[in-house]
Amino acid sequence: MALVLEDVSVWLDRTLAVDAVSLSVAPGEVLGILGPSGSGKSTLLRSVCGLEPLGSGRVLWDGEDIARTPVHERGFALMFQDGQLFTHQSVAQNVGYALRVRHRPAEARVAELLELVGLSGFGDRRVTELSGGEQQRVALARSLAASPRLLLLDEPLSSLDRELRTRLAADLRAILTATAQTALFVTHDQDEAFAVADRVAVLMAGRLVQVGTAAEVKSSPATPEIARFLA
Amino acid sequence: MIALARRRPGTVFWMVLGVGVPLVFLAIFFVWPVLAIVGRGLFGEGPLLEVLARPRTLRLVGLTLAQAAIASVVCVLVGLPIAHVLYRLRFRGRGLLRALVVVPFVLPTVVVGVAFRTLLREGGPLGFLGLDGTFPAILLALVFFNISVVVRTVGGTWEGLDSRQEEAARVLGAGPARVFLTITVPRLSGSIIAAASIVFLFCSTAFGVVLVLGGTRFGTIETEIWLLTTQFLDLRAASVLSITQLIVVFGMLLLAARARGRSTAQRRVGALRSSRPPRVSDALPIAVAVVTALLLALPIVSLVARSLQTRDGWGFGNYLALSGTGSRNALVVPVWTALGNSLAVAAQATVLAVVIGLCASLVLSRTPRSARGRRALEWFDGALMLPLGVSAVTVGFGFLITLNQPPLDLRSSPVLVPIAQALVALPLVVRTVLPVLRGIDPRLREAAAVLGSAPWRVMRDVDLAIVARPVLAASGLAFAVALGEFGATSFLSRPDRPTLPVVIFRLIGLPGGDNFGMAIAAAVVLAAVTVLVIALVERLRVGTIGAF
Repeated sequence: MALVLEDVSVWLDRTLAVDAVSLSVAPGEVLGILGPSGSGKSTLLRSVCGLEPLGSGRVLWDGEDIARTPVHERGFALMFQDGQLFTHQSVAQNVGYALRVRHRPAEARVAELLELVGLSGFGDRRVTELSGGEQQRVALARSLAASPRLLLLDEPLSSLDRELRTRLAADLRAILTATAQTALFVTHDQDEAFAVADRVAVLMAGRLVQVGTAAEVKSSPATPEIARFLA
Repeated sequence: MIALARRRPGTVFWMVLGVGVPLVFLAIFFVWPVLAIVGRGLFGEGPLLEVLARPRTLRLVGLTLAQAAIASVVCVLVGLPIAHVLYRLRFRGRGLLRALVVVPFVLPTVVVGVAFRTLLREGGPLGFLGLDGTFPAILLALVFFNISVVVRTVGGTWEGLDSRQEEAARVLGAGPARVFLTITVPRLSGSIIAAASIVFLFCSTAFGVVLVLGGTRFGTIETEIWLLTTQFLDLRAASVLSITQLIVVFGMLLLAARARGRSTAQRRVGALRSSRPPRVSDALPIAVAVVTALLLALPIVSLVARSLQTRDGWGFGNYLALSGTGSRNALVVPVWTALGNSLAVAAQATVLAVVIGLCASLVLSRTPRSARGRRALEWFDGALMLPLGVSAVTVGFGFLITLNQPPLDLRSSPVLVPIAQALVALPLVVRTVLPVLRGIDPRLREAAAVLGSAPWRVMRDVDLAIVARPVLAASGLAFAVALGEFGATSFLSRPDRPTLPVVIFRLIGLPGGDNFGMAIAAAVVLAAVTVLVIALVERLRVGTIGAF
């Protein structure tokens, strides 16, 4: 297993946002984390990359506890719901950021990534000139640039309109498979989760209530609540 | 000005009044005196460049620019970590600390000067450093004053920046230092430049503190203007220096305005999005903040302690002496009378500054439909900020040479001092009130109008209702600034009606007997009144106070 969570609990101020969640992700697998808003999915994601401190439990990568590894040394990448592109940098500078940080040559790789996300020739543009869908493509390219060991996607398509979302979900799936990228994909939209992820973990009120393939979760929801949520 | 008005009956009248009152005030009491100085400097007797080529002038211009540049850089370097602690971290007591940080900024310059003297003089707590009367002493005092400008200005922007940008960079592999330099600093650059240029401005026009600390060896263009006018009666040379000062100030204001324009490009988020509990990695900024806080407290503690030392040991002797006129009859009136004068004059100045500032802000907050109208308003905005930079000394000097003769002979009138103080306080009032007015959603006014309110009623029920607290806060700030105003007042106040800062300066100038002790006690009293006023202001929780 690449990523293993053991009994992970996370407190936000005084509320228990994530409650004893155990999970594992195989190399090259895309695991969807599905749940209604406020179920703790984003907090779980943030704790995996180290942006939220663990209340208890362990996060293991290749069998090694990474709780003490600083965020920037984990070799992960996180893509936010609203992209969080650096507005003071151009498209190419955004995409190449992780490479520059690692003192690696950026130019060729940036061009390659922009082609991968379908934005060839956009390198010199300002990110504020882009449409919402284009911004999310740039954010994806930026996340993939340094070939992260684990890609964390936090509702990457939720800020887009329905039609674009369906199209980008397919693109995302294709890109993740093509690069054999290990990924955690958080969403509240079941169609999106089933379209992008290999397996789906359902989170409700901070607790993990079911894990399985799309077909398994759809055909036999573990609790009435899940059935209602999927209905 | 008609172009500014929307075509509604009555609006034109209010627009003209709102623009006219501040403009007439500025024209008579600011533009005219300044033009008179320029005229005297350019067309007076003797070659213009002779004054500028004097070695003493060149040295002072150099000193002025050097001290302002060094102090600005130090203020930014020290102010940034403090802004991080006070505006990005969540902890108990943060509100109180944010309020305290503004105290040095509003302390009267003479008080700060005296406080640093008690700290650095031989036998004082830091006397062993041998800094009394040196250039570093002036720098320290200037930094003391202006750190809060950086903290408040940059902090206000920083608080609204989405911290997920930094998180995105961290996850992408950037370490804390790298995140700060490549993400945070570029996003803050607008407000950092704005704050630094304002600090530069304040430092290059510093007067009271330099006069008290610099002695005869160190000075600025400001102290030299004062010296030339009041001691050597060389008005021509003073005018030339005032022009030099105007050029420096004007350049800085342009820079600040441009930086302000650029910094608005960032999207703002709620404070909850950006602040978080402290972590181990915040140790460095927290340490800087704690050490700075202790250093800031030092001069004030030293001042209070020294005020309780009399020639016969500890006691309140210095305070009791305030009912007298000092040794060797240093003063014409008792110190308490001077305090009374100060309070009365500051109250008059406050009324003037707030009425004019509010009129101007109401007009400036409107968005005219025509492009010409908008451009006119931008100029009006810039004109109102000018007194902020144009030194108080220049204002005082200008009054002296214009309002002393017909058509407007105010020499013997007691209104000159409050007018000068109001001029100094006016930009601060506008900077406090205007952002609040601009923040009002125009649809609120439209809603009120659609519901049947006449234009004056819309202004009363929407604008004035929302702006009431900021106006109160601005009044307090204007009062505090007027109370401590020394640059212009030192030119204009008459010997029989001195204000407290003038009295303190007089007492330091005539040491011996009880005079120095009295000066320190009077400085403590003035500081206490100022801090009291500012504490009341801070209770109103208006965020725009002290930010630029």
